[in-house]
Amino acid sequence: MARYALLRILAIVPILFGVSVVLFLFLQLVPGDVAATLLGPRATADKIAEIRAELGLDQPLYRQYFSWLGGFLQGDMGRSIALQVPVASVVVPKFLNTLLLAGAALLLALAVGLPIGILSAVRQYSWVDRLGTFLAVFGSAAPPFWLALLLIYFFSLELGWFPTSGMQSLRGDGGRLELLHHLFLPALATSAIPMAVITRLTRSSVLEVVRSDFVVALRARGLPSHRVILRHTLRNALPPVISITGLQAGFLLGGTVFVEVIFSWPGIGQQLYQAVLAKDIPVVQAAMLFIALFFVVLNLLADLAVAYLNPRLRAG
Amino acid sequence: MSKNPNHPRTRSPLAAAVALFLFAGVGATPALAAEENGGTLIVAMDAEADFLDNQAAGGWITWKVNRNMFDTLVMEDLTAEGVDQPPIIPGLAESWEISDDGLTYTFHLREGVKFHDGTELDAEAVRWNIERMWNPEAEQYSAKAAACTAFSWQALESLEVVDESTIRFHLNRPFGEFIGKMVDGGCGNTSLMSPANWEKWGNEEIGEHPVGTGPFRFVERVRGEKIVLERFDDYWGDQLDDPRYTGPRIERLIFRPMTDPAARVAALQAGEVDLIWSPPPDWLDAMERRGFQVEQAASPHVIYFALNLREPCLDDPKYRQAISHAIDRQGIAENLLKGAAVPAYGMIVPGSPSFDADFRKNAYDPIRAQELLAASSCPDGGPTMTWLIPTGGSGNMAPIAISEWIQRNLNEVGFNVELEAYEWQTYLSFWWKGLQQGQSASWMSWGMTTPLWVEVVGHSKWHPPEGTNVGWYQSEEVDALLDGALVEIDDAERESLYAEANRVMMEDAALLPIVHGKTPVLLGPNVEGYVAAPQNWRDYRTIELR
Repeated sequence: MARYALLRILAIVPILFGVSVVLFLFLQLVPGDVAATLLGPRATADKIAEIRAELGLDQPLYRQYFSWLGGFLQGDMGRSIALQVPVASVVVPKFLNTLLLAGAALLLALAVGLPIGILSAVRQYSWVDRLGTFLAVFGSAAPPFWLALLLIYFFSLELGWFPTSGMQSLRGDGGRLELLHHLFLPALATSAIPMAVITRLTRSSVLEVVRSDFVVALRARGLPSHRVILRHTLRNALPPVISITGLQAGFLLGGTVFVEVIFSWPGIGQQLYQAVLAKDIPVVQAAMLFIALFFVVLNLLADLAVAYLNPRLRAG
Repeated sequence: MSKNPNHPRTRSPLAAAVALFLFAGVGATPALAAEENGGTLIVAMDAEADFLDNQAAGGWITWKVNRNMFDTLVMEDLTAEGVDQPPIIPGLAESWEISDDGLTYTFHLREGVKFHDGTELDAEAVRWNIERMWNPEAEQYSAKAAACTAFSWQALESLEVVDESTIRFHLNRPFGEFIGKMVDGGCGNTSLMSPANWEKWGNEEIGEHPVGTGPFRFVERVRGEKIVLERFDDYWGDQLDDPRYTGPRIERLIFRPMTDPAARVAALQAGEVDLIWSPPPDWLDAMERRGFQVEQAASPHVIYFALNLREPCLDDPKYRQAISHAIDRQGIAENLLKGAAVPAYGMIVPGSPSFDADFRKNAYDPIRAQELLAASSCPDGGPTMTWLIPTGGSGNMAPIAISEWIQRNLNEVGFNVELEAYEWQTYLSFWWKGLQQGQSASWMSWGMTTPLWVEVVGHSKWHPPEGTNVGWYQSEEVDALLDGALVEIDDAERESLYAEANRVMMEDAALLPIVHGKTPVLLGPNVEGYVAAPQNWRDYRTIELR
C-alpha cells in the first residue's frame, strides 16, 4: 500500500509540469497583445513597445516560461498583468471561495445522492426509486445557470428566504451564519450534476452487488437486511462511487463558473474567465495549476481509498 | 441580509416558471430598505474595475469608481440638470489664464485643499503628478499613465512652478482642446494623486491604495466583492458656499461587481443593491412599472462602423452613402434598444460643445439607397461584404442584435453582408491594426465630450498603427479643418471647425454612426437626487437615501 501511494504521489510532479507547459503554450495561441489590451485604443505603437518591455513580453518564450517557473517554485507566482497586483493576492482568496462552494456542493450531493441511490437499489421500482431517477435525470439535464435563475426566482424573490448574490450582505455584520445563508443557493445549484451522477452510480453499483452470489448467501444465512446492505454490500459497491466522486470534485473546481457569475460568487472560475479574456497569463497559469493540483490530489485520495477497500488493486 | 417586506406570493408554480422565462424575474415589487440603509449607497457594476490608479487605470468602468476619489484642475459639473453638455467649471484650480498666443496656461490653485492622507495640495504636487504622466526621466514616471494621457500632453513643452499655488504649462504650439481633454476620463485621467502616498507604495502598489482629494475616500477593496468608499470629511468643496461643490449626502458608497444582468436586476429587486449599471433595455419598462426608477441621458458615446475605404466598391462615396441611407437607426434605437439610445447621424457625440442635435446626413431612406446603389460603381450590390463585430464587452450595447438589424436593412436594399463576431479582447487585438483586405467594416463603441474626438477617428495622420482611423479615411479637406481646429484657441471658431469636419466626413459616409447610448441606470425607490448628466459617468454627491 505504501509503495503504491508513493508511486502515485511521485506521478503528480510530471503531470503538473506537463499541465503548466501545455497551458503556457496554448495561452500564446490566444490572439491579442496584452500590452495593447492594457493601453486601450488610444495607445501608440511606441507606447505599446514600452509596456511590452516593462512586462518582459519582449523576451523569448522559453525565457518567459522558465522565469515564471523559477518564481513559482520559490513561492512567487508573479504579478497580474491586467490587475497590477501579486497573483497570489487574487488567486488564493478566490480559490478558497470556490473550494468552499464546491465543498458545500459536494457534501450536499453526497448527503442526498448516497442515501437515495442506496434506497433506489434496495427498493427497486418503488416510489423512492422513481423519485431518485427523476432527480438524477433532472439534475443532469438542467443547465446549472438555468437552475440558478430558477432558485433565485423562487427562494430569493418570491419567498425572500435567501439572498440573491454575493458571499456577505454589504449591509450586514459579515458573520459565519450570513456566509452560510449566502452559500446555500449557489451550493444547491452547483450540486445538481454531481448529485445526479452519484445517485445513478450508487444505485447501479449497489444493484449489481445486491444480486451477487455472496449477498444471496449472506441473506440465506439469515443476516438481517440492514447488516447485509450496510456492512457487506456497500463495501463492495462503494469503490466506483468513490472514484466518480473524486472526479466530480475535480470538475466542480473548474465547473462552478456559471453559478459564480449568476450568484456573483467571487470564485476562481469567474476570475479565470476574466484572466483568459485579458490574456493575463500569470493569473491563468496560477489558477489552472491550483485547479490541476487539487484535481490530481483529490483523485489520488479517491484512488487510495478505493485501493484500501479493494486489496486486489494494491498488488499492482 | 435585507429582505423584501412587500413581496407578492407566487400564484402558481407554473405561472412563476412562465414569468421567469418571459421576464426573467421582473415580477417582484421594489424593496423598501430605507431604515436599513444608514446612508450607504450600493451600486452594482457590470464588470470588475481593474486597478485604482487614476492616471493609468484602463477604461470607463474603473474611471466610474475613481472619479469619486480624485479631482482634476478643471472639472465637468455633472450635478447640473437639464443641460446639453456638462459645464466646465474650476476644480482644484480656482481660476486659470490662457496667454493670447495660446501657448501658456497658468493655473491658480485653491487654498487649503487636502489629500485624503492629510497632506496639502500645492503647485509642486501638481508638477509631480504631471511629470508622472509625461516625463520619462521622473522617478514616479508610469509608462502606462503616459500612454493613457498622451493626447492631453501632446503639446506640452515644460512646466513651471511659479509659487506655491501657481503652476504654468508651456506648450510648443496652441492646443485648443487642452482644457477639454484635461477633464476627459477613460483609460487614464489627468486627475491628481497624493505624492506622499506614492512614496509609500510606488507605481506597482499604488493601484491598491488610492489617495486623492475627491469627495469620497478609499476604505477597502475585496476583489470580486466590493470597493468601499466613504465620505471625506475634509473635502475642499464643503468649504465653499456653492452647491456645485457640496460634498456627498451619503456616508458610504459601495461598488459591487455583478457581471450577469439578470443577477443585477434580481439584487435590486431584493433590496441588496440600490442602483444598477447597464440594465438590459428590455426590462426598463417593466421595472419602471414596478416602482423602480429609470434614469438616462444621451451620452458622449457613439456606436459606429468604420468602412474599409481600400476595398472595391467601398472606395466609391455613392456606394457608401447608399449603405448609410439603408440603415434604420430610429428602429434600432426605439424598437431594438427600447429607447435606451438615440439615432446617430454624425460622429460628434451628445455632451460635446460641437454637437448639433438637428444634424442629419444620409438618414434612413431605402428608396434613395437603391437609387444611389444603382448609380454607384457596383450597381449589382457588389461582392459579399464582411463586417466585423464583437460579441459583447465594455460599453457595447447588444452588438450582435444591432448588427443583425443592419444586415437585414442592407440585404433588403441589395447589398450582401456577412457578419463575423469575435470575443471583445480578441476583437480589439486586430481592430486597432486597421481593416485589412477582405474586411469591409468594423464596429466600435466609443466617444469623448471633447470634439478632438473627430480627429481621433477621422484624421489621416491617425491611420493605424499610429492611431484609430481604422478605415483608412483620407480627406485633405477634413485634415485641413482638423489641423486648423487643433491650434485654434477661439472656442466658437474651433467648435465650428470640428462641426464642419464632421459634416464633410458624414457627406463622404466614411464612417457610419448608428446610435448614441443613453447610459441607463435603474434605481431603487429609496434613491433620490440622481442626476443623469450627459456623460458616460455620473456624480454621486447629490444622491440622498430615503
